[in-house]
Amino acid sequence: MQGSSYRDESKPDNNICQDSNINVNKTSNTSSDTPSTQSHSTPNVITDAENPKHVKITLPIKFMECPRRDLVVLISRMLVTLIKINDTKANDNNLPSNYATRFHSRVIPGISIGNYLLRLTKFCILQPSVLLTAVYYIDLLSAVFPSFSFNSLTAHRFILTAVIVASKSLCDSCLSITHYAKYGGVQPNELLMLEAYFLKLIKYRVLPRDKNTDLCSMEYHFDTFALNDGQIKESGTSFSYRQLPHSGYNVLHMYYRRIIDIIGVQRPISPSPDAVTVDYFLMRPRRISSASSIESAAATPLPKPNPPPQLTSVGESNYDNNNDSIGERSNAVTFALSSTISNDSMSNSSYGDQPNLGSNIQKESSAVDNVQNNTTTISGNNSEHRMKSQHKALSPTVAYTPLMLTQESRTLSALTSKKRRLSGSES
Amino acid sequence: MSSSSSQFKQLEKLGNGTYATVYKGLNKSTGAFVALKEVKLDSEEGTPSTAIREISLMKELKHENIVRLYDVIHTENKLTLVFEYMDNDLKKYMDSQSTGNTPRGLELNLVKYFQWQLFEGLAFCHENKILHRDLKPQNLLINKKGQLKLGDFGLARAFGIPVNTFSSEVVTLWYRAPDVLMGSRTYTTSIDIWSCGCILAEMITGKALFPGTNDDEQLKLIFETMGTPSEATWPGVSTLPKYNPNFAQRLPKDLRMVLQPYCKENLDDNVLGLLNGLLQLNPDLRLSAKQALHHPWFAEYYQHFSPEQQQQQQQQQQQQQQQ
Repeated sequence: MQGSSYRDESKPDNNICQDSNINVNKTSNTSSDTPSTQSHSTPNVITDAENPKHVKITLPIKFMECPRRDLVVLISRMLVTLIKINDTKANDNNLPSNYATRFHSRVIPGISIGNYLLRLTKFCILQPSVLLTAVYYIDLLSAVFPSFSFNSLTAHRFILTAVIVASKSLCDSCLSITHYAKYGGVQPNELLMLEAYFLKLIKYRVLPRDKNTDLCSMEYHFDTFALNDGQIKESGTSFSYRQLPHSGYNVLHMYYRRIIDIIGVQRPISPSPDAVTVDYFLMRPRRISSASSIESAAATPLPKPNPPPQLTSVGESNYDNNNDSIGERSNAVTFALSSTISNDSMSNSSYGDQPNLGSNIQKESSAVDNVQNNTTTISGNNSEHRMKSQHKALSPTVAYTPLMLTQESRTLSALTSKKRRLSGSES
Repeated sequence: MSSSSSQFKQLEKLGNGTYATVYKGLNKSTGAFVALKEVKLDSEEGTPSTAIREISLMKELKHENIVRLYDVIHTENKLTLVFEYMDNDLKKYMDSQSTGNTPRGLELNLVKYFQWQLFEGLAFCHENKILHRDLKPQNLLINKKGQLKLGDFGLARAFGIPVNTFSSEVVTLWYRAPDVLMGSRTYTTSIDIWSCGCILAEMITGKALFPGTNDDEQLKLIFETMGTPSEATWPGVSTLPKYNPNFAQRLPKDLRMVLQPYCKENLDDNVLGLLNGLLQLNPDLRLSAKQALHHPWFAEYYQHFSPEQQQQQQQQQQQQQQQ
């Protein structure tokens, strides 16, 4: 009886249909999660009258109600941004040029991370919480395994592993490894290895909860599987979730809001005539009492949404002043997004019937396949060894480079804080 | 320090869990017994989601009424979870108390002590936003000190993270709540409370309260004792996916009449009151674990709650158990 409850691999489609239906019933008003009902004609979408290529979308406060298409676009932007930063930083870490973790592909896969995420979302029916958790895992792994860098070479294999682990941890029904292998373009046996490797690295701390990253870092610090009371006392971190507001489940809400905050507004760059710019804003909380307790509390520290007309200038000054690498990066961001939108697969009536995109991806993924079949030569022992030596040096407060969403981040969080200041002074 | 498999000597098999085999093990360096739960990693599924959840959830749950997970050993084709060793489970213990084929309940004092510990452990889970979803006597482990601990978190899940659905295929049939049987997927902590009610009744009488063989019969058995729910007694019941307006209409029975014939001691109003609070058909009306801990039946525990007395109590229970 128990066995059957988690693994209905024989009929994943049924499960998914049920899931979607239920969700329609549960989520109410403006936006629902089912792809089939999505279109850009919902009232929260504003197209600039003067510039029809500039679309402004207001997203719901609850990430569960965020249309999946929009969430995927947001997350791909985030990933592309991150990859750009980390690619330019690749030489800073003093790692040998041939250094590789198991997440490394030998060459950069032919499919863009945006399209790859889109493909996974479409064929593996990823829930919003799973998508956000995958982003969270980037930070978690970077925190405990500093030599991991989310870059062009590691992005695809990491994201695939992350969504598998997130699905298994969060959802009651999940697909088989062979399914993920088929659509992710990685051999099943390699996927098993990646999954186990990842779980081991994050010490099975798969739940996106507050303090999870801290606790995981502490476990590395003390080189233990589970902290004992003395160690917890020593580190001064409270372990029980009892004392945390909402029992420690704000992480995903925070990620959702910060992602919108950081890359919701696209920086306009030398616009090609066909490119469509889409800007995302978080809906203002209407009445606190109307939202559920978690949501409202999570939404309170929300920064004021930027007033749309001034966005361009604010965006410009921010990006330029803060970080040169971001300026270079912007091309890629727009490219990823515009290709997403021109493919338009998410906004079409159904996830399933996309012959063009499908065939493209087929080609691209076979390229991924070819690439990744070769990566088995990466030496596991080597990276294990490195990992150990790195961790000995790790103290819970050490700053790690590839992050953007945790406190230690220097690049993007600095950016947001500046942006907040700017928008605050203008309003 | 992380353990390696060579650190433990594998002893006799203790049983089969939901997705694994459990062995008794000996920690060679400390001489302490442990329970080794071996999970096979198959090529179709990888690390089972049950194992991922059990590990990730039990790492968080450090409580004296929850079995401790010490470590996980990952080898090529299997995963070994190293747990605190417990002598017995409640099911086997109750079976050992029955004489021949006649089921016999436990002494009410012991029932109370076990039930109290069950609620202590469960309240901790719920406070940490974790549902057990498979409470039954087999998953309640006991030791010679009379301690009871929640085990087997293979079906458990965290409930603070919004996901679209919860599976309704949870909890072993006999202990499954009526709302879940009728297909509810929005259940919360009340799902575990129903199971606690069934377990309490089972400890009193020595036999399962609702031993159905399939979903329909299970509901029928529940309604025969607890009455058939209606929109009046349970607003919203008719909107549940598997609600059937043609359910046979039954009136609730007096639990005393149901249970007393199988119990030698006199059942007082308090225990029956608690049982009624746990076995509410409408999940919103069921007590919470925390409320249950404050029920008058447990007055002797929460009114004199000093460590010495607790210890004394344990010793008493221990003696009772040994007798």
